[in-house]
Amino acid sequence: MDILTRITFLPLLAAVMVAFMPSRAHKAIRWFSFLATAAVFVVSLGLVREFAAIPGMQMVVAKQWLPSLGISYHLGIDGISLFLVMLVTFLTPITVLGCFNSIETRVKEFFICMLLLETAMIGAFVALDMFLFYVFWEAMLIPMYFMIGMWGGERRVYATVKFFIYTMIGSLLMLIAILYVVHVHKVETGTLSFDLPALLETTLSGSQQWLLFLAFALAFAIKVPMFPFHTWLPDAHVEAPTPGSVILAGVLLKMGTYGFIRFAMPMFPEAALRALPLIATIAIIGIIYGALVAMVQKDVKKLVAYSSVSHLGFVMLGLFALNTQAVEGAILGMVNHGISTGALFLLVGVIYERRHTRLISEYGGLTKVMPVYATIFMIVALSSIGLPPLNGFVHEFLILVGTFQAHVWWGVFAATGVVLGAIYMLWMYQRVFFGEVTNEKNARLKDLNLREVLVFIPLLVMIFWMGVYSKPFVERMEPSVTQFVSQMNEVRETRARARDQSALETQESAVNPR
Amino acid sequence: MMFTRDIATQLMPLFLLVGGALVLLAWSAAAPKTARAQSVFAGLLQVVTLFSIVRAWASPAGPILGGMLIVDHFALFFTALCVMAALATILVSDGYLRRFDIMRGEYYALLLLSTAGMFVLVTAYDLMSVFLGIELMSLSLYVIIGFRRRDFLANEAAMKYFLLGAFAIAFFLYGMSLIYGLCGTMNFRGIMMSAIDHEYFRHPPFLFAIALILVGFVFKVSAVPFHMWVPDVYQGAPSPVTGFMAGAVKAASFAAFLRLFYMTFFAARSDWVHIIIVLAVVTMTLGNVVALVQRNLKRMLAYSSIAHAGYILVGMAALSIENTRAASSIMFYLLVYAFMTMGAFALVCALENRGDSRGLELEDVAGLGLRRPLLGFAMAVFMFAMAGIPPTAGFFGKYYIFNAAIERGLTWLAVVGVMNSALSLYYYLRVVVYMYFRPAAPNPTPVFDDWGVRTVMIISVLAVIWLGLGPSGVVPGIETVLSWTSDSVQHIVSLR
Repeated sequence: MDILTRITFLPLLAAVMVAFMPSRAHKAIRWFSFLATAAVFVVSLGLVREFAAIPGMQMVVAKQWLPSLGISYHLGIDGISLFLVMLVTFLTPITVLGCFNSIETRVKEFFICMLLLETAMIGAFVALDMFLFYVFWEAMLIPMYFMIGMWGGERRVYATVKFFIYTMIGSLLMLIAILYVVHVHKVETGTLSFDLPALLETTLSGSQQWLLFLAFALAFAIKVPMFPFHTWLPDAHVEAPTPGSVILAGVLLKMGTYGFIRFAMPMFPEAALRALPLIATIAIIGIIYGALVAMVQKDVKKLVAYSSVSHLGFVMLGLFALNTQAVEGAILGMVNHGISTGALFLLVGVIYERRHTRLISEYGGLTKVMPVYATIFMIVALSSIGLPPLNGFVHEFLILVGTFQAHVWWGVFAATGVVLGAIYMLWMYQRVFFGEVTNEKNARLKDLNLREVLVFIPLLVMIFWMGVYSKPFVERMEPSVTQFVSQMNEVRETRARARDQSALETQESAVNPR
Repeated sequence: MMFTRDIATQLMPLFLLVGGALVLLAWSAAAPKTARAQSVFAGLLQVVTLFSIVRAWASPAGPILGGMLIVDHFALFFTALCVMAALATILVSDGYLRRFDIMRGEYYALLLLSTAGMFVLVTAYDLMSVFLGIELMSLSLYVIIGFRRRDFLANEAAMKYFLLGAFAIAFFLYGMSLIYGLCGTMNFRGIMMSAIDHEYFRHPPFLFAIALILVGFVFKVSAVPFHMWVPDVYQGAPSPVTGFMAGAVKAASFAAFLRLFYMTFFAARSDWVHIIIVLAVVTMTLGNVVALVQRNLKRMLAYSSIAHAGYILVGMAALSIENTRAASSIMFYLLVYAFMTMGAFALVCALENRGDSRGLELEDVAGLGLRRPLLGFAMAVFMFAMAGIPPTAGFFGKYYIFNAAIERGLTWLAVVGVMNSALSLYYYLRVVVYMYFRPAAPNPTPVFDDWGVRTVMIISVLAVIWLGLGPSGVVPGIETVLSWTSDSVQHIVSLR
């Protein structure tokens, strides 16, 4: 069996095995799930080893699935999806290890959900058949729905139903758009196929592209989430249990940005270019709005949730700046956000487990009680802000450089976002950690234990590594990114030429009226 | 016409069903206390009928009995569907009937007769056979709907279904008589040839007749605006019968509807397609919107059944001769829907108890998912499937129908359809919410899941999952089923 199939379906196999374990054997289930996800990570390291820094898809698997319907089992990765797959396999075992204590009821069901979710996430990142992608994309919702609904906070039912319906509305329109493209492709070539490379060849008229792009963009924008489709996110994050939030912020949100770069933009390049000012505008609104709203939050988790809106606005802006630096920055940004925000949610989870509150006002002076915790929190917070030499700096710098090249004003607004990011994060840090211990209950809080430290060590390693020496990462994604950017720019130039041409013609016809 | 061996093979399911019903009637008259044994007999008979369908599959299809019936693959597909639904109904009925103390042999006899009516309906090749099929199917149902005869709601249901059904079939008869007057024949092909010869497809009386026949079918498939009976009848009927109505009656009626409109009246498509489109939009939307506010489980499923009729009507609107995908998608959807709905009603049967006349509310399933993991899981799968979420067959069915609509240039209708699916998510998810996210009541409703209920649910779950992603192999996967359906449809087209 090939490596991609192995990575994708190992967690599913583990989930089935967990299903047959006695439900009282909490410890066994926890450790088994951890070992299974860790094994997936180890196997996925093979991807990095085998990966060659060349453009195009690698380790491709193309098998028949439902041939008479044009549906195939087509997987592959390139420099863009490689890191997202690695992010999934890296983050999942950490999350599993991190939630040993926080999930105490229905342990078996929880880990089954977690493992199913991992399969669906990896599958969505490696699928190159639109139908297969759609199945994984939707299948992701079900375990997440149960995770929030069963182990979430007080308003969990509201949050999870909202999350599900919001995402579903977008995806259903995308389904129609997929079917439409497939139909046009069939009319054009006579073959029925959901294969992405085949569909990329389809020629679509301007208005067709525009509507199809909007359908795709809506689905992905809800997932990112871009302003004004972000309202499900704070609810879902606040109500979700810690591991749910980590996966939601760490991976699920990237499905949206990944969808743009993999599907929406290459399939409908002209429409994407036409939508560029619009998307850039709402991305900038998202950056600033997210940061401003994060600033006034009383709940730490909600603050982190809104910071995600801001950070992903950055990523979107980078994608649509359409030059190599910015797009590379955007992809690095996806990975970095996954690591930093994942770590932040885990950190919030740690104090929540101890105090069962996340209100900033309940805390203060934690540096004195929990020095290790405070240190780790500081590093992660700084990485989220984008301080050199931590990982956040690299992608923010790349995005800003790229954006300034594309459009000076975008760069200016985006840079404001960086400043605001520092303000809300540091202010929160100050209120939670500095000063005297004002609340009696905080006086005897336990610092991190060994397991918890072990959870954070890999994250910290990545934070430093990607900040100090990001070359191995950039190197591997560069060919794919260059290819993407040059394709988009080709379309842009053709468009510009066509516009000049028509402008010339109008001029001519004005000069020599027939 | 000679009564050949082929014809005997082809009509074997009918003989078995009718013969079995007669035996059961005599049996229950002679020994009324043996309902248990009779249920075993009826169940085995359905299994035998399934085998006879397999045998008939290989025999050459053509109009038989002077063009009254045609036992082609299309008909056999739906017969198999109805027989499986009847088998599932028999499996879940035993415990239910005993709990409600309405265990009588006639129940099974009537169920078999109703299935026989479905056989006639789906094999009909003549308007008269359609009429006979509908009547045989419905008359038997009227009785078993009112089987809880001391129950007020059951009486109301039986009465309502009977009166409205008679009313609707009168329209159908009127349409039939008009067609007979115009064409001088009631044979499907005869009508078509005559209509083409005399150019009736632009002739108002002929179109009026089509509209009247449409009324009859719209009533039977429970589409708006003739849907008013659905919630009351679904609520009042014994739950196994409700499942049977949702799974089999709808499928059989759609089968005849599809055959007639795809073959005989297809040349007038441009005249009736607008009506169907409007009906599809209204049916989906009304079914889903009203289902949103239902708290009674059976009523919720009733409105969901209306909504599903709407999705299938989208397929009807997309019919085309060159591209058989729409017709094939309708067949696939009805099969999938039968599995989903029979499974869901099996759970309803297991939960319903004598004495709570208010019926089953959402609160009654609270905590079920954790109390009974397997049943809860199965029900969750059915709900996700009905909402059309991959990787279940419900998604695939919807995908296939909307795909057909897009290929027919009805993209906007497909968009209305998916928006409706999004709407329906809310009430399907609510069942899951109650099952998993709400704590069980202090003294929860007991679950009477005998082995019959469990068998039906497990088979339905496996079918719903397998028909959602299964490649063809030893077990027939999506492609095999779709090749059956497109075969059947090709044959109908070839009869034109």
